[in-house]
Amino acid sequence: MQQNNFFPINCDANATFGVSSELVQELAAEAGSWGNPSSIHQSGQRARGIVEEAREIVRSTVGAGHRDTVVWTSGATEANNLIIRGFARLARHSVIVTSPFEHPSVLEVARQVGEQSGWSCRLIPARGHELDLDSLGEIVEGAGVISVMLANNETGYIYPIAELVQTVRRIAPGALIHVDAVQGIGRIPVKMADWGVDAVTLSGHKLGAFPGVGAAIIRAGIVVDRELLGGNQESGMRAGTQPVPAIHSLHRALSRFEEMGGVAGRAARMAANRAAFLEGLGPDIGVLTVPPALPTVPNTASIRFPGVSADYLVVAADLHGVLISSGSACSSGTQRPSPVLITAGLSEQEARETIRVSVTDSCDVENFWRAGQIVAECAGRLCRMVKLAQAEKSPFEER
Amino acid sequence: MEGTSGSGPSAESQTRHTISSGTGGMVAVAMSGGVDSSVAALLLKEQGYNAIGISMQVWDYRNHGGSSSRATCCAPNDFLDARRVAGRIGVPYYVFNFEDEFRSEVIERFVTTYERGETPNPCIDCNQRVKFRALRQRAAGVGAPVVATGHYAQVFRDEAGWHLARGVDPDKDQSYFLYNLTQGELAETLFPVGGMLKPDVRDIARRHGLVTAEKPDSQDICFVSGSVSSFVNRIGRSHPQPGAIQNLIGETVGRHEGVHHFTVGQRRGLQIGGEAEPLYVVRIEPESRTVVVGPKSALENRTFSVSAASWCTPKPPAVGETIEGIVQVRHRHRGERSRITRLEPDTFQVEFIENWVAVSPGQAAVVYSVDNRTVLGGGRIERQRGGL
Repeated sequence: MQQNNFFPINCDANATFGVSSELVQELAAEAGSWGNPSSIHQSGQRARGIVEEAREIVRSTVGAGHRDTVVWTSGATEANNLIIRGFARLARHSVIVTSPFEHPSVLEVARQVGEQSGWSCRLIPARGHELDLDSLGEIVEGAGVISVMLANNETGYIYPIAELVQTVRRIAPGALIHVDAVQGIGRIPVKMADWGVDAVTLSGHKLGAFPGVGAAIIRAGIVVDRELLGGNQESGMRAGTQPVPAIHSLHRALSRFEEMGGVAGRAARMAANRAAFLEGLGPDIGVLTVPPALPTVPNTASIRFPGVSADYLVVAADLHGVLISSGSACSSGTQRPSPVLITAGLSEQEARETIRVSVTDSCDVENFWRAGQIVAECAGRLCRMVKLAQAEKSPFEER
Repeated sequence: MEGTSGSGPSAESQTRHTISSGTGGMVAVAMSGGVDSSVAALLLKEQGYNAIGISMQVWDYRNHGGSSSRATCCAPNDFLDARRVAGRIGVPYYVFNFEDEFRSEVIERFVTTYERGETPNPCIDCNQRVKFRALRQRAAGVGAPVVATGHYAQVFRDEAGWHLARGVDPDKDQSYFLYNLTQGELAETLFPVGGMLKPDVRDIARRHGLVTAEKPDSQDICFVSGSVSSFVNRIGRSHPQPGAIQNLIGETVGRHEGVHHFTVGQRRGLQIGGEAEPLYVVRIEPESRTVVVGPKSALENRTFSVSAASWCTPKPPAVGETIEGIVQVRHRHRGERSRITRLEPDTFQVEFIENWVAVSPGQAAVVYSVDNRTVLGGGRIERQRGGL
């Protein structure tokens, strides 16, 4: 098994997509343009040009209207905070509705808004991986702010935003609707204006840009309060100098993405890579946790390996040149099963046996096939070791 | 004499370890966040091994207090140090969780051994059952079947098989804690600093700018941040029961708060005044919760028996055979010349030949070769009938 420590196969693109070396080289040649966009001089003007051009391409990427506002932030977490807290100040009703599958940067903020402002925070009930749309009417009754993600970061499941918005507009016409589209952008069509939502969140590094830039795209006419005090950048909605190199890289990544067939082309490449991975994995070893009848983004698969610890499978795969993730927070060595999987109805044991595979759209489909094979080998080895360990295990003999 | 080799071990023989092929040659280095395991990882990397660093999360200090104590290992800061060292020397690094194994195999034994009036050695249990079994299995599961640690001990091989020997640094030798490794385990174990002196290990760490270079050595039991007895009180199942302190003729001379406060041979902490000679704990009777004290001479016992024996030498004595060797009865003990008779497959008897030393039931008796360099085996010191 050939090891490649420095250029592993990225099957963890939902964590970060990775920046191509071509992009880095291209940008390096233009580093002279990275002035302060607020400066009067020409260096500032060039930077300002980059920042404004990038707003344009972001609007078109998420299907926003031409006059909708793109607020640059440090990333999606900040954008989610800015939008939800800002919307809570603007809303007419003190009810915030979200889903139990949200990223912590939505769920935690919604809970805190609920606790600190005396709002009620309601969660749309889950039905397996789906949201229970039958009870949606009841839940959104009297809602001031609604925040639902477009696609789940761990399972890839796509939430029915268009349908959801229709119900909300009918029952809670004044509600402000936010869609965290971080894991959907670049994978499936995003139609902010067509759906009629009020804000969308984007993350640069999930799209092949440098980490350090995100965007809150907010419907024209809505002005949210800034969270940080400081300068008057970003129409007064976000203080602080814009991260010009990261914004520049996002512009280039999105332009390249347009040149390579847009979302349709990219989705097709991702789907091919995911299929290759699953084929390399083989039919017998893993179980998809999301039923195939449900829609998922084309790059993500949530796979359970019965009897295999996902955390150790991540380590084994890493040591053999494949990046995957386990979804559990184990940075301190304390393993907690993924709340998303538990909410979807998996047992703790099942959640601990589940990995996330999220491929890129790179044009080396055979690499993903090989990655699937490597993960199958790793899972097989771990399985054998578990059986061996169980056979040897001696209960603590008391004298 | 059995199992000793004429040619002594050396750092060089250690590096000639053969690693099973077809595994990518990966070695899992158990990194505690201390200087010894840091340098162990560094040396392996320099010797061309495909090393991976693994810290073992064995005990959650947030749930058991003691996060502020410097004596503890696997506190969050130790993992940060290990991670920084791994990053500096360029090896992948992961934290593996062994809390379940550690609780059942080490903590429970530790507490119940104290509760029955004996003195446990948790480091030996941890080595045998967690580091060299659970970690090895888990590491093999991710593709690294060979385990390395920062122990001061040496492994070498001759025609007969694998041998475990004392570390070169006499002040740091930890072979006592490793006697129950098996031949199969010795074949897949590396001790990269075993052939070195501690000051040299620190020098290497300093030269490479490792953050752990000046870290103090850990002294106490890693999971106990206060006193052992308060730990046993907190974690144990049975409530500590007070009892009598009696002298050798059965007179009550004091009271105690629980037998787990005592170790046979202990002198300090008895709080009995007015005696002409210093008093020692000579026996603990957990059934009646009695601690028996007496003069030092009452501790004299030239023979004792050992259970749960394990022989790491490739040629252990046969059942019924008597050999001569050096027996070490606690970590800091220098060892006494003894006759060792293997009674059953997993028991043996020790008879001191010249000097005697007080032994504590529950502690390990480790048998070394007559030249006191190679470990032959060891086991757990039994409570003696009649005498101790």
